[in-house]
Amino acid sequence: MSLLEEKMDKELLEEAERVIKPLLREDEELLYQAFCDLTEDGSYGHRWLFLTRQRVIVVTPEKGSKVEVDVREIKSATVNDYTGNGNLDLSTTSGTRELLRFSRSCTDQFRKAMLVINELTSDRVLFDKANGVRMPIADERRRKTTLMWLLGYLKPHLPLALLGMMLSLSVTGLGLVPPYLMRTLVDEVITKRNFNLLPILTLTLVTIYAANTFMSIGQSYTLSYLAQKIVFNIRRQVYEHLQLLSMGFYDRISSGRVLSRVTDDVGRVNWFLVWGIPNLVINSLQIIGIGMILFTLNLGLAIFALLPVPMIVVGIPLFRRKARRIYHKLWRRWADMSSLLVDTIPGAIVVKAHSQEKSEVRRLTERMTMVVKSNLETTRLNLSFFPMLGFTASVGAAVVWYIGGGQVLNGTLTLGTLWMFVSYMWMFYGPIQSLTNLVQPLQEALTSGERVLEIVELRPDIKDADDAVSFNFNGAIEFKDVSFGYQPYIPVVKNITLDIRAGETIGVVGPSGGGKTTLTKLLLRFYDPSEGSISIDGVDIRKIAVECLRRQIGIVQQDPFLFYGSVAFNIMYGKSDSAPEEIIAAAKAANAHDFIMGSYAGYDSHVGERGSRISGGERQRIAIARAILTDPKILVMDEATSSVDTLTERQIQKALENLVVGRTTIIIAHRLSTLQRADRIIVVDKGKVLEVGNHKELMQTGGLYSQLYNAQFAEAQEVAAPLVS
Amino acid sequence: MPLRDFLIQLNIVQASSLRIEPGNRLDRIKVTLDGVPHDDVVPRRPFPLSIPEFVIFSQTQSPAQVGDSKGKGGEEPQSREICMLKDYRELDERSRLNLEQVLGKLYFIPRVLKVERLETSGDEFEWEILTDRGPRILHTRSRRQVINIGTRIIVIDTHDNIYNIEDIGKLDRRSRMLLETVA
Repeated sequence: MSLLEEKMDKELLEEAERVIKPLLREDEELLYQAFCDLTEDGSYGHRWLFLTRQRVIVVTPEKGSKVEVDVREIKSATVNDYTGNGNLDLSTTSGTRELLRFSRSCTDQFRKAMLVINELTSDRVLFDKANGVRMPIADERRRKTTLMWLLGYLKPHLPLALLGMMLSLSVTGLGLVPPYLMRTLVDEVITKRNFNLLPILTLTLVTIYAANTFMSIGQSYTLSYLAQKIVFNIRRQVYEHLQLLSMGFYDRISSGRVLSRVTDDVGRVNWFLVWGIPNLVINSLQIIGIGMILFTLNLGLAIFALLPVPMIVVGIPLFRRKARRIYHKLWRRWADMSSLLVDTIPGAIVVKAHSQEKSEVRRLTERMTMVVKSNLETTRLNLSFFPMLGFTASVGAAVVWYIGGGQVLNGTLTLGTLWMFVSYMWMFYGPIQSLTNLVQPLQEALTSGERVLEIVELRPDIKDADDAVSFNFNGAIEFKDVSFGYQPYIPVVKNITLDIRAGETIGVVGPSGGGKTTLTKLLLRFYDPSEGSISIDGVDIRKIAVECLRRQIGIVQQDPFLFYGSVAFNIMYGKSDSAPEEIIAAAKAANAHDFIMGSYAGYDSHVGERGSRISGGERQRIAIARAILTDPKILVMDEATSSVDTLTERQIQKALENLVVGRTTIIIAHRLSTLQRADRIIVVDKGKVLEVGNHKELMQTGGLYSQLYNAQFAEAQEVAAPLVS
Repeated sequence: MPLRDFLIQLNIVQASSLRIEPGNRLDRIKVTLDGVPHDDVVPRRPFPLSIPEFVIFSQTQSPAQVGDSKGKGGEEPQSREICMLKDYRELDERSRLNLEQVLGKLYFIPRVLKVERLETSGDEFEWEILTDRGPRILHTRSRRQVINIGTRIIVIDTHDNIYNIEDIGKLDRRSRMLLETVA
């Protein structure tokens, strides 16, 4: 939960307190409150639900009305889930009624409300008030503005930033001197034919340009150094943060989209910092400086010169608002395109096997067309504003010529001053022009910055508890009434209770989609169960430091991911300080040593892109070696042998025989022959444990296991039969 | 079984307990471990690039010697490993030379002395190098075939030949500049 949500919750709680206080009787204690976002007839609106030991109260704030039900009349409460909404039904002595309707954003709190009501009716309420209200998260959740966030990175480099600023000031100041010298040239030297002053004037001019050049170099380098440092920090922070985020994040957002944010968007922010900010600073300083000079020189003329300024002041914010929407759309479409590429290029084999090359080209073309459309949209927006601005500026200049020229003819203005004024005026339009040109890329960069900030602001769902402990596992695992669903209230695992002794080998079988893999994900705490608890050696895993937990559980998956690098690198992935002999020992334990030694550079051989240079069985054994190198107390084999042939499976089996000794081992398999040695086999289907026992026992009971086993055995015989006869 | 037990089975020995003599064949050695002689031993490097001093001494066996008359198909060729030595340079002079003689035959990894030319078209590079074994033209296909290990660079060409640049710092200026383009 983000800080903002917490804050909103606090505001809501305060509001709830204001609403409920006058309604409570003296002896009544508020047990629970919930906030819902739909009215009875299905429009959006606010309703409060308050629960006390005596009453269930529903308040409609806009009408100030309330509905109350006496707890003694309630038989039970139910929450129904429908598409996009749900409701809370009360079954009372006078029939069933709908109490509240709410969007799915509120389902959580009303599930809880339902539990409280049901506990109230059964007289055993023990409710934790701290669980309070959760409010559907509003879209406007920007905690800091993007700009402030980016500038926050400046803090550690403050001296350098100040140096850059000083240099910028000096460069700007020096840049303002030449037109002043010009006036002297016209009024003092040329008009008065003062030959002595000419060389001095020229020399001064050269000196100023020289100083300006060197300071500009210093300024550019300082600012760009600063920007590179900052971008480096941003990239690192984003990457660090991505590593911290839970699996849930990676389930939600495609890797292409994440990549696009780390590369493209950070790149645009980089541009903004390297180029945008320095220009912004210099141009603003120039505008202020020249503006002041213009006004002190000739107030009348200055007003005409500043003709385009109001247009800028009014126009730019308008433009920005529009641009922000359009650029966000553009970056989204860019990301659409990149994510398609990230998907299809590694998946080339699937594309080709289904001869979908043409359709992939079509898909990409469609997305590219969308990008083109968006790009043109931004062009149209820019063209509707900037040329007009330029024209207004030119009109102002023309007016100054006309009036200023008249004043010189009248003799109220010296020629030199007009000359200086015109020079300053053109110098004034320069920064204004580049400032307006800057607005657009600035906008691009800021929207990109927002997209990066969005990631940085995400809070990992799974993090260490404050009182998290680390200890050496013995390996006893207990699932107590565990329920979990990837989507709220569509449980994949229902009330699973399991007791695994330290050192036991447990087989888990059942149809696919039955929740087997989910159990291992819960054990590794990729997700937290929605109900119930999992403990290791009697300690709830939510109280164990995540690193300590995952380090002591080795997992081998069906299709293990190998990184591009040497075999040794992949094996030592989980323990980068391993000694070479440990790597060899782990490979031997995984029955992988011999084939590794057979490849062209032994353990230094490279596995190809995504491990494609080695076979499935070899990859599997490297993954086992990787899992075993940290000497985990708990070993999970998640369908580790499902995708390899029978002979390779036998080799993996052989490796396992040694590995299970002294470890708690969980083997998920659909090939039942793998499990005959398991101490106990658990049959899981539809998220529930159906049967528990060893092979013999399960065969005798004649349940699902024996059906599965007989089916597989018959199949094996059918295949074998023609060979035998 | 804890990893510790697997480690013990590796039989890592001290250099002082080993004596190495030439074997019957040019690619074999005779190993005497704690006074017990072993013939027909092949020295193998598990980490030929990153830890070349690590050597495993093994005897390859024909399937009949593996002792599985039923002949399980699909098994990789078995070899019996006699012992492992973490740093063969600790061996006595004679043994070390005898071992290096055979290792030099089994592991052909030329040392790069100079990079003459390095041209690219996209991801593919063509190298013209001078090695301690003579000049050579080779191709690498991806940046990842050029592996940096500290100041060392390992180059693996498209045919899995391996070239070793022991220390970039010791190369001439031009070679270093050319290497910059791939690194």
